Amino acid sequence: MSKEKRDLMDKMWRVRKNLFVQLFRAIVLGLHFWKLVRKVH
Amino acid sequence: MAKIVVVGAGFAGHYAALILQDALKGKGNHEITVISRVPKFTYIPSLVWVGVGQMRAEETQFDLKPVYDKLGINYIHGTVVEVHPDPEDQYVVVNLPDGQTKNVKYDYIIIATGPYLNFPAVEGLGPEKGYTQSICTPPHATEAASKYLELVHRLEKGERAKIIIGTGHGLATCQGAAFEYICNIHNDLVDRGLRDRVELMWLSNEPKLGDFGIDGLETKYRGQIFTSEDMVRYVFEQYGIKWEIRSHVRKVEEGKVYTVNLDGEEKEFEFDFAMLIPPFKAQPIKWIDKDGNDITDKVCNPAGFVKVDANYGKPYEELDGPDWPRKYQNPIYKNVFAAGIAFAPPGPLSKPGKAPDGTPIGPTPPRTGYTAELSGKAAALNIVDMIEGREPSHTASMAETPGLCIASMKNKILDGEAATIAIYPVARNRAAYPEYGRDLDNCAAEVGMAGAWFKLFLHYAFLYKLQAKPGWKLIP
Repeated sequence: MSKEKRDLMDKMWRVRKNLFVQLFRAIVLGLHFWKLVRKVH
Repeated sequence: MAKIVVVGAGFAGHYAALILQDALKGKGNHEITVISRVPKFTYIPSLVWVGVGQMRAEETQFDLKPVYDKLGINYIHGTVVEVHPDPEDQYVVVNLPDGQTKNVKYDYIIIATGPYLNFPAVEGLGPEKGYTQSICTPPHATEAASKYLELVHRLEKGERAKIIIGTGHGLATCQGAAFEYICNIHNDLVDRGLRDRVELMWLSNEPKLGDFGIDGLETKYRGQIFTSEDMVRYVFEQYGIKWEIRSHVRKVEEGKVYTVNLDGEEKEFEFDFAMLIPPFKAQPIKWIDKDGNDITDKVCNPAGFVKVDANYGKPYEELDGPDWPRKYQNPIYKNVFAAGIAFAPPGPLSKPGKAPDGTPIGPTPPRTGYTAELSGKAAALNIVDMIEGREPSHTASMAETPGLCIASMKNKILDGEAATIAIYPVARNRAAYPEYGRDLDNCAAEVGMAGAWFKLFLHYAFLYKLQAKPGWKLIP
């Protein structure tokens, strides 16, 4: 894995249990899932 | 009046029955019958928590009959052993729990039986006649939890142990479930302060880490292309999990697993606890023509899965999106549909390989969960089309639909983590997306607590929806 990728992975790993970051990610990922689900329903 | 029989009541069959009932409501006196050998629906994605002792099996299940009684769907608790598909007299033969048999006539049928767990394919595999555990059914997951907690008890007394988790055969699938299990075991041991006493190993048939039976995935993030291999490697390094991939399990003895890999290397690994997913084959159903001849080979592929509107026979290198089935209709018997695990895929999603001795090693394609539900829905709505005199028009090709997966890693509200994965489409479709076979703008993968919340939410949302409680149709 390149250094740039590892740095980005490290960053994701560090914030994986940060409540505020995860609340934001829940909204982003929820909207993304919803968009994909709407493609087939 | 049309008689519709749905064989199986898992994600594909049960959801198909709900969709049929809803779509045919008020459109005539049609009769829907579900035949299932298990009287309960099980939300299989949560069995990973049952297998760690963090949830009871009953919390993943509900009784089917009250749901069907409420909706006016007939329910038969039994095992379908024969299908007689010729137009003159179409019926299935059902073995009932009391030993009697019953013939059930149909005009349309959906085969959605799910898999037969083929533990006998590997000597010593499985919890019943072997030495390994499984989390594929509620009793298996409960037994796995019991054995795991016995081991925890020994660890608490100061013993050390080796745990192996992964796939138990070169052609097994459901690597995702095994990945969830190994991550949950790791985190459970961390929480108990016992992780340093355990050597944890991932053993799988995947050609590369993070393949998951879907040929892995790629996602774009800040100008970089991340692969699932990058992510799983990173997670395993963080968790201190060793891995051995590209492997077929040849044999299991008490405390020892024997493997051969794609390079022909034969290896042995000792274990104190192992959970290995078995290979799947179809439930044993015979197809009989009007003259009494067994025509199973004509209707099904060699593993017994029902052929549908896919392009079969292409080599892996030539297989592409348009070869995957869209309507789930059998090409010979147009009133026969198959959904979920029960339909025959045109080939693997992951690159197949062979050990030098010819042993095939490569994941078979997963067709579970959301994908199963979508195929069941398409089959059900196509039957409605036919009843109303139209050609089947509903499609749910794996090369045109998304794969949505939350892989649990730790089940806690304020300290949990899970990998949230979205791919579009599931099967690579280079005809539509030449570079990767997938639309990378619609693919995502990340690890975090948000995924743990989603996973728990989906557990309750699906159990609510599939019991057809008020507003169930609003949950996609």
